[in-house]
Amino acid sequence: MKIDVLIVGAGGAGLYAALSAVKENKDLNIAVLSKVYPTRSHTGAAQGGINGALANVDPTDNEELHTFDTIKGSDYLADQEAVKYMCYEAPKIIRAMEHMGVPFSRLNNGKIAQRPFGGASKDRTCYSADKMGHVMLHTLFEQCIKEGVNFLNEWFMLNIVHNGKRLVGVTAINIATGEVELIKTKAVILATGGHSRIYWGYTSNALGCTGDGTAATLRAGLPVKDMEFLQFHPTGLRKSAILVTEAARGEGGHLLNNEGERFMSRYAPGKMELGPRDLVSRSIMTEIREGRGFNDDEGREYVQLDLTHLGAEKIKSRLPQIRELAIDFEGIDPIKEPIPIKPTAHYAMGGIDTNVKCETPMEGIYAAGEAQCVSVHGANRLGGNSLLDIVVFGNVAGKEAVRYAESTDFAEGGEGKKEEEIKFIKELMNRESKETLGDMRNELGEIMFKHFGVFKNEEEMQEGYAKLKDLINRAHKNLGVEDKSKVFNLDLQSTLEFFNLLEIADVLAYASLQRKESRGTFFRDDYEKRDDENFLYHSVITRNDDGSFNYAKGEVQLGLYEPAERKY
Amino acid sequence: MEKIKYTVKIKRYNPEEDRSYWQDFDVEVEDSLTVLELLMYIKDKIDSTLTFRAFCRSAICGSCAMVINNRAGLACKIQAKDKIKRGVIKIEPLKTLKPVRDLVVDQEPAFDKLKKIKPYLEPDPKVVPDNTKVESLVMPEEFARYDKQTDCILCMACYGQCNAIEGNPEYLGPFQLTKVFRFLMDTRDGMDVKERVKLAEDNGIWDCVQCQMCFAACPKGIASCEDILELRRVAKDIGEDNVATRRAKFWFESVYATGQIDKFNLAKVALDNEKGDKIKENLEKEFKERGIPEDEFGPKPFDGIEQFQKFIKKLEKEI
Repeated sequence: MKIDVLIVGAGGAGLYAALSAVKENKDLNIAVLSKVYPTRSHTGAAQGGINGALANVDPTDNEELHTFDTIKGSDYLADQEAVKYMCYEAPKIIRAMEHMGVPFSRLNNGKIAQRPFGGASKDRTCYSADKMGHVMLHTLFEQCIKEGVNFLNEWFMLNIVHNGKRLVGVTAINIATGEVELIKTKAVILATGGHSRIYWGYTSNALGCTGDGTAATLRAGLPVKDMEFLQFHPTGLRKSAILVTEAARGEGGHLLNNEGERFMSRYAPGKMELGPRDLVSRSIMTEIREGRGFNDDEGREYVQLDLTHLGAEKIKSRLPQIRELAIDFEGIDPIKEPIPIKPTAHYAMGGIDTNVKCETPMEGIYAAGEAQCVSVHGANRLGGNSLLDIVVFGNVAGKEAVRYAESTDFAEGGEGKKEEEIKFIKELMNRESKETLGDMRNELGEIMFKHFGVFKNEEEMQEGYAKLKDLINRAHKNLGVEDKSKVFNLDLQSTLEFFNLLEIADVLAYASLQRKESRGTFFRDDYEKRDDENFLYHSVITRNDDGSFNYAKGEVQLGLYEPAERKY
Repeated sequence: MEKIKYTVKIKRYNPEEDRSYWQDFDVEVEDSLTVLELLMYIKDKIDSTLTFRAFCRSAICGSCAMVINNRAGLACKIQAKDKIKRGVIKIEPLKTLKPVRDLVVDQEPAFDKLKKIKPYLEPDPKVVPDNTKVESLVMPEEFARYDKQTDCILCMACYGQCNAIEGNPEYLGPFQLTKVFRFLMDTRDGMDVKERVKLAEDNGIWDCVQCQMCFAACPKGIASCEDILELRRVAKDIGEDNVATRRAKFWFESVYATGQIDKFNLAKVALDNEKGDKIKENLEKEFKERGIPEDEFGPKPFDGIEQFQKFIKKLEKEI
């Protein structure tokens, strides 16, 4: 199979990249490959909104303030010019999506409504009740139908193939038939999403957020960046870790400890519940650690998110989905009772290393969205900035990939890689399982949450890393695929996804051990302060042939704002 | 942590042998599992070959629609313990789509039908600006007309429960028609209303049997059956001679003449095509088989119909 521009992943970044690529050059053969049907992608689970200084609610807002808030929120690890580009694109791209049909909530004057959000100095978050990601994803998909974008639905990418100078293609498996294919392509855009599933049972993410593109990048010998930064969202549901949007606090929700106290007054007296996510998550965990949390019959620890004072009408109109989730998954109606919540692994700031043009160091390979690390989020992403990031850089990636594809022909080779994949899968299918995938996934989640969670320190991380290495060794020896069918073999797919998770957990753990400071979401008890003198850099990691890591320090592009202490 | 014992009866499909069969799984599990968590438990602990789609597990991605105790819904949204009847839960793939393997069905035919109705905004240049300096203005009450319909997650629970598809496999389907409604109501949409309605008419709104099962199945509480009624009203209002106007005219004439609706001839007159003829032929055949005399196929005027007709005439004059 030959495709000029292949986009892997059909979330917001992938679909926007496809639309921008098709608009750039209709004559190219452009296709989106996705392991799920496009509208299943995890973009749809984003709830609260998308940031842009439209100034519809607060006329004093502007792009510069958005830029500053984002840089401050990143704890000064973001590349400032890249942030500026994103924030100045924001109003334009939000309106472009409005013109495509995105059903935004509206103000009484007919303009797009905006609400306050964590870490933002103005009411800047555009929304559609509490289902912004859902309506964006569906609108972008509708536009892809309109533009006649080609889709390879329910195909799973295995590896990126290159010849050391430039891209050759990707290998992928057609889930419906089990056939492995080499897809030759001039340019590929990896829009494969995040990898918070390394925290298996402790994450808001979909079952498939397994960092497939990021892991493939590592295997291809290409760099990943800032992998130690993975954000815990303050408000996950107690039992399932499913997300409760920040909009719940943006609309006025309170966080309460077991004394009924709004404890955020101790940690962020200025912003209270609307402090940035890293700070609020740590505050919740501190309350729990110091005995001011709640315990349920099954030993789960949590605090409360109280919406009852907002009243039934506001909850029903602004937070309908949250109400539904609380009722379905906790058996609690937020109109009547506070919601039990705890922090949940939510978003990967780190990912595939690219520049602001979405280029990786290898010709023809691009990345966009949560899989990518430009970096615009640095050490901590602000709520409402990820739906923005995915479309802004999806747009860039689409255009850049087309330009590259126009300038080149297909590279030779790659057939050997297909044979290797077939052989590997055959071995995996023939191997007798000594352990089960389900148990191993849970074990991974336990290790990561306990040793690489909201609070970290040297001793616990070293202990955790040893456990992780043991798990990785066992997985490669003991894990086979029991399901032998070729048709829709999800057991095989889940096993391959698990290997990707292990790859990423490994590099995340390694990167965490190198950073001896606290910055943004990355917090160590043994190094509580940010250390700009020694650690104001991007960690850039590649994997060597012998399996060891190569660690480099990438420059953080400052230039607009000098790093300052971060207070809220 | 309370554990309960029950049997999960799953309708499986083996594509290699093209064979459907029921399999029982006896489980002893926590009482707080969703149906999806129950299926994951079976896959993890009992049979790793059990195949089903799942992704977000929070009722927003629409992957895990299936039939649970004869009702289509999202496995992730339904508590297993609420569905145990005499110690058994019954789980099947969606019924109006072909199984690919176990609970996984081939969704492409339903998505192809979605594509047919042009499921996207055609911006109206009078409302939607041609630049990104400003947004289109939409009043909150204008948005409210299709707000609910934008909740659709394309999970296909409605489609899996639709009786009209059982009757006519070409029928567009509930979520597809809700999508037509959603764009028709959008003040930013510039596609000619007649074109939107026409897209909804072909194997569409007139084939719906108004059983309301789509509404019963929808995890988001969308009533496609209501959207379809609304589309029928629009079709009637804009039409001069179409299914809607012929149907309305025939209804009136039939009621006026006999006091009842002539269902025997309704489809033929309203549809005015081969399909209408076919429906009448089928009815004729069925009536004959049931031994109904030919003069009783259509309704007869009831006693005292003249009074009723006078009343109608009087009403007409007053209006």
